[in-house]
Amino acid sequence: MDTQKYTETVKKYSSMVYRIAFHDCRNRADAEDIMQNVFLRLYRSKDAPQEEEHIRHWLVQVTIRESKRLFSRPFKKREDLLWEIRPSKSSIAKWPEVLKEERENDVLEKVLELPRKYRTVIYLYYYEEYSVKEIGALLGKRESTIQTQLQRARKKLEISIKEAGNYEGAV
Amino acid sequence: MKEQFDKDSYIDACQRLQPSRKAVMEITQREEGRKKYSLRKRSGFVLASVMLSVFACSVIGIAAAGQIKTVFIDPDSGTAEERYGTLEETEDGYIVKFDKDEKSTKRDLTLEEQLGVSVVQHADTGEITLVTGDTQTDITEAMKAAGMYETTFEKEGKTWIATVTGGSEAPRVSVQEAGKEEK
Repeated sequence: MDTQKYTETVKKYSSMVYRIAFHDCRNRADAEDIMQNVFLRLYRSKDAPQEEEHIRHWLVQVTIRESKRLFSRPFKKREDLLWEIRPSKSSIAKWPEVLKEERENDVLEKVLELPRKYRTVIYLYYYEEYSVKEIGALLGKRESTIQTQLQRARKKLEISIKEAGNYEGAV
Repeated sequence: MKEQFDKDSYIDACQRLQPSRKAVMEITQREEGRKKYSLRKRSGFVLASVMLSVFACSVIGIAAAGQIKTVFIDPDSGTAEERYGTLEETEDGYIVKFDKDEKSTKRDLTLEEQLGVSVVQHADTGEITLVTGDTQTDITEAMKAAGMYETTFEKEGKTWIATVTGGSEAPRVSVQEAGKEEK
């Protein structure tokens, strides 16, 4: 891949790669490490695809593989997660935005609290808008498995959100 | 909070998940053969298991199937303790378990350990990384091509020469002060 194409690819897909990695490892430093490894592989690979849609698929697959390989510091994640997705103090003056952001962060937090195998599936389905069939192909799993994982993830999210609602109501 | 998964809120929150500009710049401005990733983070799954210890620790290598040798470095006393643990994969990653009855070996720090110099070969990718303090250099290509790699670095007001030998099969690093090389 020539330098210009490589740079364009990084600019276009670095956020996607980072988000997939973040969903897996749940901390910024590791997600950035994974992102760097993925693009290093793209840079070095002689067989990397040239077509736009193939590049995207390739990056998703390599990111998932790299995430599995570099997964780290499990008991640190919760702390990192809370630190990273909460709004900064400087934004507290913007009340409506902060409340909206907090609500959105709550939802993201619930997704990130799901077991690892569900998080990437949820992200690929809802954010990247891949179909169940496409996710199955990307992850090397059967369509029915992905469908089941999505259902279970949604169920878990529903329970988790209900529990959070009950807790807030009790306070 | 709504009692159903709020897809729109999730998407908006995801949009705020962005890598730092610095990290993206490092990728776009990358030169072949130089990669600034954090070795500490790579071996973090092993470090995680020993973070409660007061010692710094480094992973030396896998000695046998599932067995991993870990060195706990105590710079204050200038000693190192070598222990063997078992590498286990969990749903959340890897952990190293140490048997309390397993004997450990204590020794003085080598010059390389005192200066924070080590060479790491990644079993899965075959990549070879030279660590000199906070700097990590990918020397895979150099080791494959020339069988050795040499570099200088500054530490404690002195210039040191780090030499990696042993080719890409069994790389090992040695350090000596510049100007005091063996003749």
